[in-house]
Amino acid sequence: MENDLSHTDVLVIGAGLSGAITCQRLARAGIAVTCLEQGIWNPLQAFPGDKPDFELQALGPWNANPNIRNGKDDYPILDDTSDIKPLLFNGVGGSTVMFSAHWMRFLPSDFFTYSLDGVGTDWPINYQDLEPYYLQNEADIGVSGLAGDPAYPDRPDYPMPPLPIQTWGEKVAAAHDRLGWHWWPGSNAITSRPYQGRRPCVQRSTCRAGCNEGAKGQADQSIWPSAIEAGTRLVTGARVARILTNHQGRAEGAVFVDESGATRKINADIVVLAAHAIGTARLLLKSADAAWPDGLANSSGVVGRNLMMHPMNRMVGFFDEPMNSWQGHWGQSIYSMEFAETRAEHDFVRGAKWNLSPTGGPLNAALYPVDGPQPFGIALHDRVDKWLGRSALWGMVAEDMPDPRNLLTLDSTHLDQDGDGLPRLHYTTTENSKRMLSFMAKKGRESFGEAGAYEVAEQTLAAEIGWHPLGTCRMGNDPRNSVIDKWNRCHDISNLLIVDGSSFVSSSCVNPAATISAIAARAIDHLINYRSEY
Amino acid sequence: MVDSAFRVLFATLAKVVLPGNDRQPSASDVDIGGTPLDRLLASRPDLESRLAPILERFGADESLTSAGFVETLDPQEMRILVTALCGAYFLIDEVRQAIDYTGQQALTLDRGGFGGEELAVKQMELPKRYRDPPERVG
Repeated sequence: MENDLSHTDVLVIGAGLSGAITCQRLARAGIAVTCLEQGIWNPLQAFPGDKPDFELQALGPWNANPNIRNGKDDYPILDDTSDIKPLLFNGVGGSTVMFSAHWMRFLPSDFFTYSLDGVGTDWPINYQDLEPYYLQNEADIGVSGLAGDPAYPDRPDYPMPPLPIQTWGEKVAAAHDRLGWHWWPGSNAITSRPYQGRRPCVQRSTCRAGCNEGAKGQADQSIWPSAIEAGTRLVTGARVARILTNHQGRAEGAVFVDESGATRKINADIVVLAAHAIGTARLLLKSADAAWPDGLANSSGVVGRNLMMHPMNRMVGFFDEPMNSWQGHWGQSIYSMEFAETRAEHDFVRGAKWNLSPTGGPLNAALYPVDGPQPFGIALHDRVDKWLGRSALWGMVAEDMPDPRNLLTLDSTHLDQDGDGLPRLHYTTTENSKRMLSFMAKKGRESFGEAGAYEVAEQTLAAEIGWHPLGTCRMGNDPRNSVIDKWNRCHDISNLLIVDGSSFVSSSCVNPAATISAIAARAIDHLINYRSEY
Repeated sequence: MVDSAFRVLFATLAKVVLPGNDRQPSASDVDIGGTPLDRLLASRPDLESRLAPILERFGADESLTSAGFVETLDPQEMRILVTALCGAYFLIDEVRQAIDYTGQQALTLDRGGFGGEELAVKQMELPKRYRDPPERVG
């Protein structure tokens, strides 16, 4: 256990993707950086994917829902007031330990939802601002994919070629070709070749509970080793209870509880929050005091608000041909942006990204919550029989619009170990999302039908899909309706930065990890180059 | 270690949730209340306390058949029961062989390509389909 944690130049709270990138860059620039992470650093052998009881573990101790997982480093997130349940991981690597590694840039239009479509709010930055950082992070993290997608601006080749799209991917790709619809080989933060000392993917399909091979670009494997080598001081088992400010209104450090249970204080010249859209907003609200009665850096009243969650449908197509579809990176085999952009003829605005994947083993087949009651008896055998190895899954990610009524608060009656309210999610799926996903479901059936599926099952408006909480401390030029500026500095506290998904202004319909990492990299480069101004 | 009553009740419900068919053994055929249950609880000890109230209620209610009891379970209870029964069942090698499931294996990636290359080239030749942001329009 570190004894001298009295001071650091930059304190980073959270060792997930944005925290890892922050620390890597700062340390490489020769800046003394300390990262406090409440969880642990799991070794590769801890992940359950290479064990026979993987599916059982993924439903329990390695479940992405912290309220189900109930791990030592988890805290309850009250979600009975939310249509969508949060999925995240507390530990070195953060939620990337469990993410499916889809690596997707925002579309250029995603930054201008108000100017283009009259909804939401425009970002103060754009695609061109992030483009160099998208590229840098792809190289650091190790992304496989194929350049040339007409759904995106031109770009250089990915660091590695795409992973196999598999038999189901070929069927659906051919179907979309016949339908005249878009498809593209999946871009994934998963190695398809030996890469920077990491092994290539072995298609075990256990990605969502940590990769035993080190092939998935989870931040504990792809970024943290170089961040440590460059000089980052990473302290695990360190749960931050509140951020401290001084009489000048500047952030000056944090109070944390170390792994022995002792309450300690660390002073810092600059504080960077990288604790996830739920963790960061929670910590700012917990840090309320006489000077900040509504939460730290919250003169706008926006902290915790505009929670976006990416409503989703899932659709499973069943095929006669055995395809061994319990194997394969999970991960996206292919994706489709056919319905990603707003179209005038739709009864909704914005759109959804589709991602095709394998469908897991027999326990997943037996329990998957498609619409309808849980089968048992012969019906259960029938379900497993038609699902196992002969199915494919479309996940449909609907762009979520910011709504200040969707928010995170601290509960008034359920308290955490510090005596503060537990975080509570208030989230209602919008009518726009419902109409969008109803349309997408209809098109999903068309896609699978053209691909040769004899039956399609659906999970409508799935609840256990809260992978992408975003927007709770959003970016903007106006301090009256945003928390941070375009360089991720809090309007209210100039030496306090927020670099995780809470910074988002809109959600796009694509997975946010690539954009979270680009935003973090850009913000920290600015900090490094203009540090004297912070 | 669970007691014999727990095992008997678990195995009794297993008869209706996991009967046999022409391919697969039934839960009874594989003695689901014995070693498979032990293996399940070694993997997921939390399931014991979650199963216990369900099994106790089942054991105490002699008015319902096993199938009838299963029908009374709420979705959360049903999920616990099926997770446990199927979790134990699908760990058994005999069952895995019967359903042709090899487990999640480590495979060597085919270095020959990603599949669908010709179709990808067709996509590549299509016009760009993203919208330019307003500052670049006009």
